[in-house]
Amino acid sequence: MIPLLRSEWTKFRTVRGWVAGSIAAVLLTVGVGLLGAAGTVRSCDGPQGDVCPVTPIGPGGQAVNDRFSYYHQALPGDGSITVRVAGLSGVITYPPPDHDEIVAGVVPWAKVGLMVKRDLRQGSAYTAVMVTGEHGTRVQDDFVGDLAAGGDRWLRLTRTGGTLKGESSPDGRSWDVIVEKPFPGPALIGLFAASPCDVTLSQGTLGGTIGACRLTNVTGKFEDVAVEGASGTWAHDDVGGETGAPPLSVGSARQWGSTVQLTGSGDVGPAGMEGGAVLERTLTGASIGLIAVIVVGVLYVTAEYRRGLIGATLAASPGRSGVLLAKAAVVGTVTFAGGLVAAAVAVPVGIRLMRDRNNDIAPVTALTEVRVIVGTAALLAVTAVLALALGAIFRRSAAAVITAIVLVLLPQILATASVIPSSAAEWLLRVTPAAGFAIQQSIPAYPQVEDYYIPALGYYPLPPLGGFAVMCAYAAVALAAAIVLLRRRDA
Amino acid sequence: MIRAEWTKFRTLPGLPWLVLLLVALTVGTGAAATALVPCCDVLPSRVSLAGVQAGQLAAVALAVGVMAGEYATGMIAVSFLAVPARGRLLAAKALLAGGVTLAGALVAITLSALVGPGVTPTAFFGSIGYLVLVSLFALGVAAAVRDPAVAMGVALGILYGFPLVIRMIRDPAWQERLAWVSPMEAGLAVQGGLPPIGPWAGLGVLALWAAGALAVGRSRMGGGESAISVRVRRRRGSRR
Repeated sequence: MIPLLRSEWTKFRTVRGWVAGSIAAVLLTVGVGLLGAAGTVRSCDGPQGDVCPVTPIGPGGQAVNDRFSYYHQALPGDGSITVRVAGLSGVITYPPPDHDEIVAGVVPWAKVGLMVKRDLRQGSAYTAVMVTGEHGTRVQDDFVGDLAAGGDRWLRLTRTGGTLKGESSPDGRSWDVIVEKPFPGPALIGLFAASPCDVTLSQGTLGGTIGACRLTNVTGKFEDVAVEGASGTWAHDDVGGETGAPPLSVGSARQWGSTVQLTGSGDVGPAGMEGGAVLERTLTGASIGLIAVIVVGVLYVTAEYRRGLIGATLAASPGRSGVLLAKAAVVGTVTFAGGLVAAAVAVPVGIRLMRDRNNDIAPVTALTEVRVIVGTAALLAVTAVLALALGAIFRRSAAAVITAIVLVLLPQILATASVIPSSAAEWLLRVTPAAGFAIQQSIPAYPQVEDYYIPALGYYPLPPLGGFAVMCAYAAVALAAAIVLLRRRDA
Repeated sequence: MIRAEWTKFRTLPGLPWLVLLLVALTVGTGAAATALVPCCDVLPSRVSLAGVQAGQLAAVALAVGVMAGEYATGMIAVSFLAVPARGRLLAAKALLAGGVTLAGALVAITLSALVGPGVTPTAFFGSIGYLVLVSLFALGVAAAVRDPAVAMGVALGILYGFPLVIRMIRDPAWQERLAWVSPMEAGLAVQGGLPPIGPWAGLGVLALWAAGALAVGRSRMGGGESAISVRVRRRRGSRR
């Protein structure tokens, strides 16, 4: 195998066109990616000039939404709050189909309930038990944690010795513990209400999808409110509230004895792609570099057929299967190395460019960043292997290039830049090798947040490694078929 | 001369099939879009003719096959010997590729229009013109780079690359600038719905790309020296 690898590497290295093609792939990936980054300009012209609001960052390091109505007391040490959610009502502005009136209604992810939060700063740690519009009783904490907990309307949060316990109950007598976690230190305890905007997707006249997010609010009626261990008096705050916000989004609280009526708007949860420019936008060039990679991968084998060199190659290695494996290893490794260089340059430089243009960058963990960079290189490498295999199957470069582009690139185009609706686009990105692009998605889709989870906005239907596995499966099957055909056929 | 080109086209395996592929891809994708897209929100022309985005693949392959296929087999030397005037040879090939694509596009677009929810006359004739111009553009690229795989990569990269990049950029000003130089995005303005770019101006953008590619291709074909020496120099110069 080693001599075979060396001879294939020598072939690759000494053909100017293939080396040039690989360099072109790197340059295209970096160049187009940086062009995309440079074109991502954010401007926030307002009364104070071009000042963009800062996206709050949660305890887990994600960009978050943290805007809600909070009726609270201080909680210096141990204490508890118990409540019965007697009712939810709300307002939805301009819902479908006609978008022409303001109606009464509660959106599925409207939340009212109990919350212990570190302080009033946006993004500070919290734990909450809540009743939602259509998703039952839930526990959420620190913006990304989310747990379904039946449908009971009695809620309780208790802190003893630095441990916070969330419970629910059907009747206020027998309690089920649904969450238990450490939460020491001074905090606030109270009632909250939040109602995210009503997300509607519609088809644009050019195709593609147009999302709209219309203001809503929710009013929770709490009865039998009982607080122990809290200090100070009740106070109401709109966490993250802005001056000059529309009246419907301004929260309010009223209290009679042990009954509280709390109105609020906004959301407490991960911000998704709204949380800033995403990392992978600096890597859009990969889909263009991919074309150069496909051409090199195909030519690496078809050129041998055209020049008749394949006869010598096969005579030198009568086993035959080794030849294609060696070629796949060489072209895969070269492309991976090139892709790694390209991505490792494009990401930091692109991020700098986007920052200079007023963009917040949606923060991700170092692990995610590495996954996106290495994944992009792997994506290119696997595509090269797929192209090589197609070249060996067809033995004609034109047919192989077309097939590779139809498999890898056309689904992307149809899914993001055509009239195909998003449900069909998602299927395209599940069953074709284009699913592999999922490995570039840095911000996951959170089920507890209503958002535009559609391919056109960068959300792939499969998880990163799942999508990449689909692409690898295509490459593996194609390579296996190519090897079988090579053994059967006359050269 | 045209007859010679036609005979080559007719007898080569693969090329006539590409015309069928053009029709199948265009009509198939258009029909799928028609079935999938909910009524009335999207421009009917865009839905009926969505297949053009896929069908142009076949138009590109066809033009590249007509031109670069000869370089691949060495047939080009014979063609050059028979027709020393390079401009006339390119013109004949352009006429052939354009003509065959026109025939395919006529069938494909008519069928798509019948299957889909309807098209405007501008979109109908514009899309036929679009496919013909795409094949001329690809022919020019093929004459310029001479290798079928590279030609296909370059032509499809330019066609599909711009829309992908445009979708990734969120800045509307940049999106419009790029749409103006993108042969596919601007060219498909004939199907309506792209207000800043008029339908015929958009097709003009594509025509400029085609003319530019053909001009580069013409100059790369040379002409002063004999075909054989071109062939020999190529052998020595680029070991592909």
